Amino acid sequence: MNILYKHELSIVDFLHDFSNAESRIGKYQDKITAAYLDKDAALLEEIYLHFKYEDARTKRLLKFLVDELNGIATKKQFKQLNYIFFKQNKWDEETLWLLFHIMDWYEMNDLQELVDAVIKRCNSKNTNARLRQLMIRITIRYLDICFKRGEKNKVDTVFDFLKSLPNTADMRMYKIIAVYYDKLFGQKYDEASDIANLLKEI
Amino acid sequence: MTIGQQLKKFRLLLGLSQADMAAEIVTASFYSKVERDQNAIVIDRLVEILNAHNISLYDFFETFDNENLPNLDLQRKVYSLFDNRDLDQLIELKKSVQDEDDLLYLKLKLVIADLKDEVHEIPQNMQEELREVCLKEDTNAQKNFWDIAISTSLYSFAKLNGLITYIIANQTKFDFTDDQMLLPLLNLLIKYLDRCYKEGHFVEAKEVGEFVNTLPRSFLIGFHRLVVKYCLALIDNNYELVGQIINLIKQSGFQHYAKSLPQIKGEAI
Repeated sequence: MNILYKHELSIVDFLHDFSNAESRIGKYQDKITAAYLDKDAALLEEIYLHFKYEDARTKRLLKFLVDELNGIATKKQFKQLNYIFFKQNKWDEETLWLLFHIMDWYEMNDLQELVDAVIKRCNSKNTNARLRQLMIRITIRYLDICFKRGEKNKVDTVFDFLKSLPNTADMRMYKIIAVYYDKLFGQKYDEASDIANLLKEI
Repeated sequence: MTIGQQLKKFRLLLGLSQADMAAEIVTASFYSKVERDQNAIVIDRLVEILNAHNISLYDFFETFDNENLPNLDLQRKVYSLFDNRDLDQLIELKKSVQDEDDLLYLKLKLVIADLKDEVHEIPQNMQEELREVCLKEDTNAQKNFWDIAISTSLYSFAKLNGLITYIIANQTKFDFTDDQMLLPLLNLLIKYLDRCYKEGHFVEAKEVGEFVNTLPRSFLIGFHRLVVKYCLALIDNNYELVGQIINLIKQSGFQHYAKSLPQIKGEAI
Protein backbone atom coordinates (compact mmCIF):
# COMPACT_ATOMS: atom_id res chain seq x y z
CA MET A 1 0.00 0.00 0.00
CA ASN A 2 2.80 2.43 0.83
CA ILE A 3 4.39 1.88 -2.57
CA LEU A 4 1.12 2.58 -4.35
CA TYR A 5 0.40 5.67 -2.30
CA LYS A 6 3.91 6.99 -2.88
CA HIS A 7 3.02 7.02 -6.58
CA GLU A 8 -0.48 8.36 -5.92
CA LEU A 9 -2.12 5.17 -7.09
CA SER A 10 -5.40 3.97 -5.68
CA ILE A 11 -5.29 0.56 -4.02
CA VAL A 12 -8.96 0.09 -4.85
CA ASP A 13 -8.15 0.48 -8.57
CA PHE A 14 -5.09 -1.76 -8.22
CA LEU A 15 -7.09 -4.59 -6.67
CA HIS A 16 -10.09 -4.20 -8.96
CA ASP A 17 -9.58 -7.54 -10.73
CA PHE A 18 -8.75 -9.49 -7.58
CA SER A 19 -12.13 -9.27 -5.95
CA ASN A 20 -14.70 -12.01 -6.12
CA ALA A 21 -17.34 -10.18 -4.08
CA GLU A 22 -20.08 -9.19 -6.43
CA SER A 23 -21.44 -6.22 -4.69
CA ARG A 24 -20.70 -3.72 -1.97
CA ILE A 25 -22.52 -4.23 1.29
CA GLY A 26 -24.35 -0.92 0.82
CA LYS A 27 -25.49 -1.93 -2.67
CA TYR A 28 -26.62 -5.31 -1.34
CA GLN A 29 -28.69 -3.56 1.30
CA ASP A 30 -30.11 -1.19 -1.32
CA LYS A 31 -31.15 -4.19 -3.40
CA ILE A 32 -33.12 -5.57 -0.46
CA THR A 33 -34.67 -2.17 0.26
CA ALA A 34 -35.67 -1.71 -3.38
CA ALA A 35 -37.31 -5.15 -3.47
CA TYR A 36 -39.19 -4.36 -0.25
CA LEU A 37 -40.42 -0.97 -1.48
CA ASP A 38 -41.47 -2.58 -4.77
CA LYS A 39 -43.37 -5.16 -2.67
CA ASP A 40 -41.48 -7.89 -4.51
CA ALA A 41 -41.84 -10.80 -2.10
CA ALA A 42 -40.49 -13.28 -4.65
CA LEU A 43 -37.24 -11.35 -5.10
CA LEU A 44 -36.83 -10.93 -1.35
CA GLU A 45 -37.35 -14.65 -0.89
CA GLU A 46 -34.69 -15.33 -3.50
CA ILE A 47 -32.26 -12.98 -1.75
CA TYR A 48 -33.05 -14.71 1.55
CA LEU A 49 -32.37 -18.16 0.12
CA HIS A 50 -29.06 -17.09 -1.41
CA PHE A 51 -27.97 -14.78 1.40
CA LYS A 52 -24.15 -14.68 1.38
CA TYR A 53 -23.37 -12.73 4.49
CA GLU A 54 -23.40 -14.28 7.93
CA ASP A 55 -25.21 -11.46 9.68
CA ALA A 56 -28.02 -13.07 11.68
CA ARG A 57 -29.91 -9.80 12.04
CA THR A 58 -30.17 -9.22 8.31
CA LYS A 59 -31.26 -12.79 7.68
CA ARG A 60 -33.97 -12.43 10.31
CA LEU A 61 -35.10 -9.17 8.80
CA LEU A 62 -35.30 -10.72 5.33
CA LYS A 63 -37.55 -13.48 6.69
CA PHE A 64 -39.71 -10.87 8.40
CA LEU A 65 -40.03 -8.76 5.26
CA VAL A 66 -41.02 -11.78 3.18
CA ASP A 67 -43.64 -12.67 5.78
CA GLU A 68 -44.85 -9.07 5.92
CA LEU A 69 -45.33 -8.87 2.18
CA ASN A 70 -47.13 -12.20 2.30
CA GLY A 71 -49.39 -10.84 5.05
CA ILE A 72 -48.29 -13.28 7.74
CA ALA A 73 -45.75 -11.30 9.78
CA THR A 74 -46.61 -11.03 13.47
CA LYS A 75 -46.19 -8.47 16.23
CA LYS A 76 -44.10 -11.08 18.06
CA GLN A 77 -41.65 -11.25 15.13
CA PHE A 78 -41.43 -7.46 15.14
CA LYS A 79 -40.76 -7.35 18.90
CA GLN A 80 -38.03 -9.99 18.55
CA LEU A 81 -36.41 -8.01 15.74
CA ASN A 82 -36.69 -4.78 17.72
CA TYR A 83 -34.96 -6.43 20.67
CA ILE A 84 -32.19 -7.92 18.52
CA PHE A 85 -31.51 -4.68 16.68
CA PHE A 86 -31.33 -2.45 19.69
CA LYS A 87 -29.85 -4.68 22.40
CA GLN A 88 -26.37 -3.55 21.41
CA ASN A 89 -27.49 0.06 21.73
CA LYS A 90 -25.42 1.05 18.72
CA TRP A 91 -26.53 3.50 16.04
CA ASP A 92 -24.44 1.90 13.35
CA GLU A 93 -25.23 1.46 9.64
CA GLU A 94 -26.71 -1.98 10.10
CA THR A 95 -29.09 -0.84 12.86
CA LEU A 96 -30.30 2.19 10.92
CA TRP A 97 -30.76 0.20 7.78
CA LEU A 98 -32.73 -2.44 9.65
CA LEU A 99 -34.82 0.20 11.43
CA PHE A 100 -35.97 1.69 8.11
CA HIS A 101 -37.80 -1.51 7.24
CA ILE A 102 -39.71 -1.98 10.49
CA MET A 103 -40.79 1.61 11.15
CA ASP A 104 -44.39 0.93 10.20
CA TRP A 105 -44.79 -1.43 13.17
CA TYR A 106 -44.05 1.15 15.85
CA GLU A 107 -46.65 3.04 17.85
CA MET A 108 -46.61 6.72 16.93
CA ASN A 109 -45.01 8.03 20.14
CA ASP A 110 -42.22 5.45 20.05
CA LEU A 111 -41.61 6.19 16.39
CA GLN A 112 -41.45 9.92 16.99
CA GLU A 113 -38.91 9.41 19.77
CA LEU A 114 -36.79 7.18 17.55
CA VAL A 115 -36.82 9.67 14.71
CA ASP A 116 -35.93 12.56 17.04
CA ALA A 117 -32.96 10.50 18.23
CA VAL A 118 -31.96 9.77 14.62
CA ILE A 119 -32.04 13.47 13.75
CA LYS A 120 -29.85 14.31 16.76
CA ARG A 121 -27.34 11.66 15.66
CA CYS A 122 -27.37 12.94 12.09
CA ASN A 123 -26.42 16.39 13.28
CA SER A 124 -23.48 15.08 15.30
CA LYS A 125 -19.94 14.95 13.92
CA ASN A 126 -19.51 11.18 14.07
CA THR A 127 -21.41 10.32 10.92
CA ASN A 128 -20.23 9.25 7.50
CA ALA A 129 -22.02 9.60 4.16
CA ARG A 130 -23.70 6.19 4.33
CA LEU A 131 -24.94 6.79 7.89
CA ARG A 132 -26.33 10.17 6.91
CA GLN A 133 -28.06 8.67 3.90
CA LEU A 134 -29.72 6.00 6.05
CA MET A 135 -30.83 8.56 8.61
CA ILE A 136 -32.37 10.79 5.96
CA ARG A 137 -34.25 7.84 4.48
CA ILE A 138 -35.67 7.13 7.93
CA THR A 139 -36.93 10.70 8.28
CA ILE A 140 -38.57 10.57 4.86
CA ARG A 141 -40.24 7.26 5.63
CA TYR A 142 -41.45 8.85 8.86
CA LEU A 143 -43.18 11.61 6.86
CA ASP A 144 -44.89 8.97 4.77
CA ILE A 145 -46.09 7.08 7.84
CA CYS A 146 -47.31 10.29 9.52
CA PHE A 147 -49.28 11.24 6.43
CA LYS A 148 -50.89 7.81 6.14
CA ARG A 149 -51.79 7.82 9.85
CA GLY A 150 -53.10 11.39 9.70
CA GLU A 151 -50.48 12.59 12.18
CA LYS A 152 -49.92 16.03 10.71
CA ASN A 153 -48.73 17.67 13.92
CA LYS A 154 -45.65 15.52 14.42
CA VAL A 155 -43.66 16.49 11.35
CA ASP A 156 -42.27 19.99 11.92
CA THR A 157 -38.94 18.84 13.33
CA VAL A 158 -38.42 16.53 10.38
CA PHE A 159 -39.21 19.23 7.82
CA ASP A 160 -36.84 21.63 9.56
CA PHE A 161 -34.17 18.94 9.48
CA LEU A 162 -34.67 18.19 5.78
CA LYS A 163 -34.63 21.87 4.86
CA SER A 164 -31.38 22.30 6.77
CA LEU A 165 -29.60 19.66 4.71
CA PRO A 166 -26.86 21.15 2.53
CA ASN A 167 -27.60 21.77 -1.16
CA THR A 168 -25.08 19.19 -2.31
CA ALA A 169 -25.41 16.62 -5.09
CA ASP A 170 -26.08 13.69 -2.75
CA MET A 171 -29.01 15.53 -1.11
CA ARG A 172 -30.90 16.44 -4.27
CA MET A 173 -33.39 13.61 -4.47
CA TYR A 174 -34.09 13.75 -0.73
CA LYS A 175 -34.84 17.45 -0.93
CA ILE A 176 -37.10 16.92 -3.91
CA ILE A 177 -39.00 14.23 -2.03
CA ALA A 178 -39.23 16.61 0.96
CA VAL A 179 -40.89 19.19 -1.33
CA TYR A 180 -43.42 16.51 -2.31
CA TYR A 181 -44.35 15.79 1.31
CA ASP A 182 -44.43 19.50 2.06
CA LYS A 183 -47.10 19.89 -0.62
CA LEU A 184 -49.02 16.90 0.76
CA PHE A 185 -49.06 18.17 4.33
CA GLY A 186 -49.90 21.66 3.03
CA GLN A 187 -52.90 20.10 1.24
CA LYS A 188 -51.60 21.23 -2.16
CA TYR A 189 -52.65 17.91 -3.60
CA ASP A 190 -52.51 18.90 -7.28
CA GLU A 191 -48.93 20.08 -6.98
CA ALA A 192 -48.03 16.97 -4.99
CA SER A 193 -49.63 14.83 -7.66
CA ASP A 194 -47.59 16.57 -10.39
CA ILE A 195 -44.40 15.86 -8.46
CA ALA A 196 -45.42 12.25 -7.84
CA ASN A 197 -45.99 11.77 -11.58
CA LEU A 198 -42.58 13.22 -12.36
CA LEU A 199 -40.88 10.99 -9.79
CA LYS A 200 -42.77 7.87 -10.84
CA GLU A 201 -41.38 8.08 -14.35
CA ILE A 202 -37.79 8.47 -13.26
CA MET B 1 -7.53 3.45 10.28
CA THR B 2 -5.20 0.45 10.25
CA ILE B 3 -5.62 -2.87 8.44
CA GLY B 4 -6.17 -4.53 11.82
CA GLN B 5 -8.92 -2.10 12.79
CA GLN B 6 -10.66 -2.49 9.46
CA LEU B 7 -10.49 -6.29 9.67
CA LYS B 8 -12.02 -6.19 13.14
CA LYS B 9 -14.82 -3.91 11.92
CA PHE B 10 -15.76 -6.32 9.15
CA ARG B 11 -15.35 -9.39 11.36
CA LEU B 12 -17.81 -7.97 13.89
CA LEU B 13 -20.20 -6.99 11.10
CA LEU B 14 -20.22 -10.59 9.97
CA GLY B 15 -20.52 -11.96 13.49
CA LEU B 16 -17.40 -14.09 13.21
CA SER B 17 -14.80 -15.21 15.69
CA GLN B 18 -11.14 -14.50 14.94
CA ALA B 19 -10.59 -18.16 14.12
CA ASP B 20 -13.54 -18.10 11.68
CA MET B 21 -12.26 -14.94 10.06
CA ALA B 22 -8.77 -16.44 9.65
CA ALA B 23 -10.51 -19.24 7.69
CA GLU B 24 -7.33 -21.36 7.91
CA ILE B 25 -5.71 -18.98 5.44
CA VAL B 26 -3.53 -17.81 8.31
CA THR B 27 -3.44 -19.25 11.83
CA ALA B 28 -5.93 -17.89 14.35
CA SER B 29 -3.13 -16.62 16.57
CA PHE B 30 -1.44 -14.82 13.66
CA TYR B 31 -4.76 -13.31 12.67
CA SER B 32 -5.34 -12.12 16.23
CA LYS B 33 -1.99 -10.29 16.13
CA VAL B 34 -2.88 -8.69 12.80
CA GLU B 35 -6.10 -7.36 14.27
CA ARG B 36 -4.19 -5.92 17.17
CA ASP B 37 -1.66 -4.32 14.76
CA GLN B 38 1.12 -6.46 16.19
CA ASN B 39 1.79 -8.23 12.91
CA ALA B 40 1.61 -7.13 9.30
CA ILE B 41 -0.13 -9.33 6.73
CA VAL B 42 0.88 -9.75 3.10
CA ILE B 43 -1.61 -8.45 0.56
CA ASP B 44 -2.38 -11.78 -1.09
CA ARG B 45 -3.31 -13.41 2.25
CA LEU B 46 -5.43 -10.40 3.12
CA VAL B 47 -7.23 -10.52 -0.22
CA GLU B 48 -7.71 -14.27 0.21
CA ILE B 49 -9.35 -13.72 3.60
CA LEU B 50 -11.59 -10.96 2.27
CA ASN B 51 -12.63 -13.04 -0.71
CA ALA B 52 -13.28 -16.06 1.51
CA HIS B 53 -15.90 -14.03 3.34
CA ASN B 54 -17.26 -12.23 0.28
CA ILE B 55 -16.10 -8.87 1.54
CA SER B 56 -15.88 -6.36 -1.26
CA LEU B 57 -12.33 -5.08 -1.71
CA TYR B 58 -13.83 -1.71 -2.55
CA ASP B 59 -15.66 -1.62 0.80
CA PHE B 60 -12.54 -2.68 2.66
CA PHE B 61 -9.91 -0.48 1.04
CA GLU B 62 -11.84 2.65 0.08
CA THR B 63 -11.19 4.25 3.45
CA PHE B 64 -7.41 3.89 2.98
CA ASP B 65 -7.55 5.59 -0.42
CA ASN B 66 -9.52 8.44 1.09
CA GLU B 67 -6.99 8.89 3.88
CA ASN B 68 -3.84 8.61 1.78
CA LEU B 69 -4.64 10.18 -1.56
CA PRO B 70 -5.59 13.81 -0.97
CA ASN B 71 -5.43 14.54 -4.71
CA LEU B 72 -7.87 11.77 -5.41
CA ASP B 73 -10.14 13.32 -2.82
CA LEU B 74 -9.72 16.75 -4.44
CA GLN B 75 -10.48 15.33 -7.87
CA ARG B 76 -13.63 13.70 -6.54
CA LYS B 77 -14.65 17.07 -5.06
CA VAL B 78 -14.22 18.73 -8.44
CA TYR B 79 -16.39 16.13 -10.12
CA SER B 80 -18.98 16.28 -7.36
CA LEU B 81 -19.21 20.07 -7.52
CA PHE B 82 -19.47 19.85 -11.30
CA ASP B 83 -22.22 17.26 -10.89
CA ASN B 84 -24.05 19.81 -8.75
CA ARG B 85 -23.13 22.75 -11.05
CA ASP B 86 -22.01 24.59 -7.93
CA LEU B 87 -20.05 27.49 -9.41
CA ASP B 88 -19.47 29.29 -6.11
CA GLN B 89 -17.95 26.25 -4.43
CA LEU B 90 -15.81 25.50 -7.48
CA ILE B 91 -14.38 29.01 -7.42
CA GLU B 92 -13.61 28.62 -3.71
CA LEU B 93 -11.95 25.27 -4.36
CA LYS B 94 -9.77 26.76 -7.12
CA LYS B 95 -8.44 29.33 -4.66
CA SER B 96 -7.24 26.52 -2.42
CA VAL B 97 -5.28 24.67 -5.15
CA GLN B 98 -1.61 25.69 -4.84
CA ASP B 99 -0.06 24.32 -8.02
CA GLU B 100 -1.37 26.19 -11.06
CA ASP B 101 0.50 23.84 -13.40
CA ASP B 102 -1.23 20.86 -11.97
CA LEU B 103 -3.63 19.09 -14.28
CA LEU B 104 -6.33 19.26 -11.67
CA TYR B 105 -6.08 23.06 -11.62
CA LEU B 106 -6.55 23.10 -15.40
CA LYS B 107 -9.63 20.93 -15.10
CA LEU B 108 -11.01 23.24 -12.42
CA LYS B 109 -10.45 26.23 -14.71
CA LEU B 110 -12.26 24.41 -17.49
CA VAL B 111 -15.25 23.48 -15.35
CA ILE B 112 -15.61 27.03 -14.06
CA ALA B 113 -15.27 28.48 -17.56
CA ASP B 114 -17.87 26.03 -18.82
CA LEU B 115 -20.40 27.04 -16.16
CA LYS B 116 -19.78 30.71 -16.92
CA ASP B 117 -20.00 30.05 -20.66
CA GLU B 118 -16.45 31.39 -21.10
CA VAL B 119 -14.60 28.36 -22.50
CA HIS B 120 -13.67 30.39 -25.60
CA GLU B 121 -11.50 32.56 -23.31
CA ILE B 122 -9.25 29.61 -22.39
CA PRO B 123 -6.01 29.85 -24.42
CA GLN B 124 -5.90 27.49 -27.41
CA ASN B 125 -2.83 25.60 -26.22
CA MET B 126 -4.52 24.94 -22.90
CA GLN B 127 -7.68 23.78 -24.66
CA GLU B 128 -5.58 21.39 -26.73
CA GLU B 129 -3.85 20.04 -23.64
CA LEU B 130 -7.19 19.47 -21.95
CA ARG B 131 -8.62 17.73 -25.02
CA GLU B 132 -5.66 15.32 -25.07
CA VAL B 133 -5.99 14.57 -21.38
CA CYS B 134 -9.75 14.29 -21.14
CA LEU B 135 -10.61 12.28 -24.23
CA LYS B 136 -8.77 9.03 -24.89
CA GLU B 137 -8.45 7.67 -28.45
CA ASP B 138 -9.77 4.34 -27.27
CA THR B 139 -13.11 4.92 -25.54
CA ASN B 140 -12.82 1.54 -23.82
CA ALA B 141 -9.68 2.79 -22.10
CA GLN B 142 -11.57 5.71 -20.61
CA LYS B 143 -11.67 4.92 -16.89
CA ASN B 144 -14.82 6.84 -16.42
CA PHE B 145 -16.67 9.56 -18.24
CA TRP B 146 -16.05 12.42 -15.85
CA ASP B 147 -13.24 13.93 -17.89
CA ILE B 148 -15.28 13.84 -21.06
CA ALA B 149 -18.32 15.23 -19.24
CA ILE B 150 -16.42 18.26 -17.96
CA SER B 151 -14.85 18.95 -21.34
CA THR B 152 -17.77 18.59 -23.78
CA SER B 153 -17.57 22.28 -24.68
CA LEU B 154 -14.11 21.66 -26.18
CA TYR B 155 -15.34 19.29 -28.89
CA SER B 156 -17.25 19.68 -32.09
CA PHE B 157 -20.78 18.30 -32.09
CA ALA B 158 -19.71 15.67 -34.63
CA LYS B 159 -17.01 14.42 -32.28
CA LEU B 160 -19.39 14.27 -29.34
CA ASN B 161 -22.05 12.59 -31.41
CA GLY B 162 -19.54 9.97 -32.54
CA LEU B 163 -18.64 9.26 -28.95
CA ILE B 164 -22.23 9.04 -27.69
CA THR B 165 -23.20 6.84 -30.62
CA TYR B 166 -20.27 4.55 -29.82
CA ILE B 167 -21.24 4.31 -26.14
CA ILE B 168 -24.86 3.49 -26.97
CA ALA B 169 -23.89 0.92 -29.61
CA ASN B 170 -21.34 -0.74 -27.31
CA GLN B 171 -23.09 -0.42 -23.98
CA THR B 172 -22.37 -4.03 -23.05
CA LYS B 173 -18.69 -3.12 -22.85
CA PHE B 174 -19.40 -0.75 -19.96
CA ASP B 175 -20.64 -1.67 -16.52
CA PHE B 176 -23.65 0.59 -16.07
CA THR B 177 -24.63 -1.16 -12.85
CA ASP B 178 -21.60 0.54 -11.32
CA ASP B 179 -22.60 3.91 -9.85
CA GLN B 180 -19.08 5.20 -10.49
CA MET B 181 -19.78 4.72 -14.20
CA LEU B 182 -23.43 5.75 -14.20
CA LEU B 183 -23.04 9.14 -12.57
CA PRO B 184 -20.44 10.59 -14.95
CA LEU B 185 -22.28 9.01 -17.90
CA LEU B 186 -25.46 10.89 -17.02
CA ASN B 187 -23.49 14.10 -16.65
CA LEU B 188 -22.01 13.55 -20.10
CA LEU B 189 -25.44 12.85 -21.59
CA ILE B 190 -26.93 15.97 -19.99
CA LYS B 191 -24.13 18.14 -21.41
CA TYR B 192 -24.66 16.47 -24.79
CA LEU B 193 -28.41 17.14 -24.66
CA ASP B 194 -27.62 20.77 -23.91
CA ARG B 195 -25.64 20.91 -27.16
CA CYS B 196 -28.37 19.04 -29.03
CA TYR B 197 -30.96 21.60 -27.95
CA LYS B 198 -28.84 24.66 -28.65
CA GLU B 199 -27.59 23.40 -32.02
CA GLY B 200 -30.87 21.90 -33.23
CA HIS B 201 -29.99 18.18 -33.19
CA PHE B 202 -33.35 16.90 -32.02
CA VAL B 203 -33.23 13.38 -33.48
CA GLU B 204 -29.95 12.72 -31.70
CA ALA B 205 -31.46 14.05 -28.45
CA LYS B 206 -34.37 11.64 -28.64
CA GLU B 207 -31.99 8.71 -29.16
CA VAL B 208 -30.30 9.68 -25.92
CA GLY B 209 -33.68 9.83 -24.20
CA GLU B 210 -34.44 6.28 -25.32
CA PHE B 211 -31.02 5.12 -24.17
CA VAL B 212 -31.46 6.70 -20.71
CA ASN B 213 -34.71 4.75 -20.32
CA THR B 214 -32.73 1.50 -20.64
CA LEU B 215 -30.30 2.37 -17.85
CA PRO B 216 -30.66 0.88 -14.34
CA ARG B 217 -33.18 2.68 -12.13
CA SER B 218 -30.67 3.79 -9.55
CA PHE B 219 -31.66 6.35 -6.90
CA LEU B 220 -28.30 7.96 -7.49
CA ILE B 221 -29.31 9.16 -10.96
CA GLY B 222 -32.92 10.03 -10.19
CA PHE B 223 -32.14 13.74 -10.35
CA HIS B 224 -30.26 13.32 -13.60
CA ARG B 225 -33.18 11.49 -15.17
CA LEU B 226 -35.33 14.47 -14.20
CA VAL B 227 -32.90 16.79 -15.95
CA VAL B 228 -32.89 14.58 -19.06
CA LYS B 229 -36.70 14.79 -19.00
CA TYR B 230 -36.38 18.57 -18.79
CA CYS B 231 -34.10 18.74 -21.83
CA LEU B 232 -36.40 16.50 -23.87
CA ALA B 233 -39.42 18.56 -22.80
CA LEU B 234 -37.64 21.68 -24.11
CA ILE B 235 -37.05 19.97 -27.43
CA ASP B 236 -40.70 18.87 -27.60
CA ASN B 237 -41.86 22.40 -26.73
CA ASN B 238 -43.67 20.94 -23.72
CA TYR B 239 -43.39 24.16 -21.75
CA GLU B 240 -45.78 23.06 -19.03
CA LEU B 241 -43.48 20.14 -18.17
CA VAL B 242 -40.43 22.39 -18.51
CA GLY B 243 -41.96 24.77 -15.96
CA GLN B 244 -42.90 21.96 -13.56
CA ILE B 245 -39.41 20.50 -13.53
CA ILE B 246 -37.52 23.78 -13.23
CA ASN B 247 -39.83 24.91 -10.39
CA LEU B 248 -39.28 21.65 -8.55
CA ILE B 249 -35.52 21.94 -8.86
CA LYS B 250 -35.65 25.53 -7.56
CA GLN B 251 -38.05 24.72 -4.70
CA SER B 252 -35.68 21.96 -3.59
CA GLY B 253 -32.97 24.59 -3.10
CA PHE B 254 -30.97 23.99 -6.27
CA GLN B 255 -31.40 27.31 -8.03
CA HIS B 256 -27.72 27.22 -9.01
CA TYR B 257 -28.34 23.99 -10.91
CA ALA B 258 -31.44 25.41 -12.54
CA LYS B 259 -29.39 28.37 -13.82
CA SER B 260 -26.99 26.01 -15.60
CA LEU B 261 -29.74 24.35 -17.64
CA PRO B 262 -30.63 25.32 -21.21
CA GLN B 263 -33.56 27.69 -21.25
CA ILE B 264 -36.58 28.20 -23.43
CA LYS B 265 -35.13 30.26 -26.25
CA GLY B 266 -35.75 33.91 -25.54
CA GLU B 267 -36.46 33.44 -21.83
CA ALA B 268 -34.27 33.63 -18.69
CA ILE B 269 -34.61 31.17 -15.80
